Amino acid sequence: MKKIVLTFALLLTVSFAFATNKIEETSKESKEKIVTLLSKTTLDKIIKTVKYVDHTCTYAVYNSSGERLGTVVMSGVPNNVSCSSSAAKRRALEIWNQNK
Amino acid sequence: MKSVFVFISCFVVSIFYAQENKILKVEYAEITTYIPQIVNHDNGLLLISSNESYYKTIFNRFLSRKKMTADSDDLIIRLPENEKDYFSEILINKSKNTLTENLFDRYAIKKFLAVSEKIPKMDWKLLKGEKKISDFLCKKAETTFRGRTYTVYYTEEIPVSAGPWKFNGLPGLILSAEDKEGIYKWKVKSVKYPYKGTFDLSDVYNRIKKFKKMSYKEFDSKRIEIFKIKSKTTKARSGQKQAVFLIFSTKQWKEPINKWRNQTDF
Repeated sequence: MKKIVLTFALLLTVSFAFATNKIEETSKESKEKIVTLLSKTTLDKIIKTVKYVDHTCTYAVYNSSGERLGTVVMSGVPNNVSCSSSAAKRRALEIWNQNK
Repeated sequence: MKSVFVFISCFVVSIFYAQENKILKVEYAEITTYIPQIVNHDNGLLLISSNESYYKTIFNRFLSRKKMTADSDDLIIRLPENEKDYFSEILINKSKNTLTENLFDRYAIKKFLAVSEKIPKMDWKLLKGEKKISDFLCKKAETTFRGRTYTVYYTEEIPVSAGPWKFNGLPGLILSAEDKEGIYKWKVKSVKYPYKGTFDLSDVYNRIKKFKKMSYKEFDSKRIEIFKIKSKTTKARSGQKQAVFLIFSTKQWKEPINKWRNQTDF
């Protein structure tokens, strides 16, 4: 009886040990995969966001004689505002006039 | 030997001109082309007596200009101009060795000024090549003056060391001049000698008294200082999200550099 109980206990312990190891291994692998996956997605997102947020517009300012008076460089223009849009040009002109 | 002969003949004729104190009147076409699409046509008037020479640019570019049209290039901003901002007359006094330009500085100072300097020395290179301009036989010469290289044609048949704008130092009158970049050009339209009209410079001298006086060096450094301040102020005003820069350049000026300054962008 004693032998049977001991054998059973040993079997149980070994199976538990095996079972725990197996679970740990799976979990580690999955975690790594998720971390890698997350990092890549976040990085892509950041890159996309940076690209999306702003851009730089450069305007040459001429008088009606064709003489180049200077250059206005505006960085941080929202990406959905085109440099050739009237809003962006108006802002550049405002900046020029403020510093006349 | 030939150059000695030219020099002596110039000297003799200059004395003759001086004794007679007759006036020489020359009219020029001034053509300024900053960009190929816009050619500015102005006139120049040169009056020379024995001791003084006077050159005035008559800005009539506004008369022929068509109404401004929209630009095909989206990254260009074109600003209208005020006709009153254009004023330039140059008085050279040979005995005092002075050159005074009465002008309106439309770039930075925005004031009428009387800018004086010693008659600037131009180092000429006499080149091969002759051509006839208005029946005068002309010789070719080249100089680099304050950052711009000019090719000119001058005639020894009119032995006065003068020309349009600040040009001087050749053994004959300059009848045509052009800078290497093709921005500034002068072409003779008429030569009258002796000129029967009046040569009264009292108005010019009055303007010299009336306008704010400064030396050429002061004038140049003041303009550059203003540009630098404008540029710095814009940078300072820029926020964290948006930065704004203004860049100014002297590249298209008649005198983009000088002996005190080599830089052209500010």
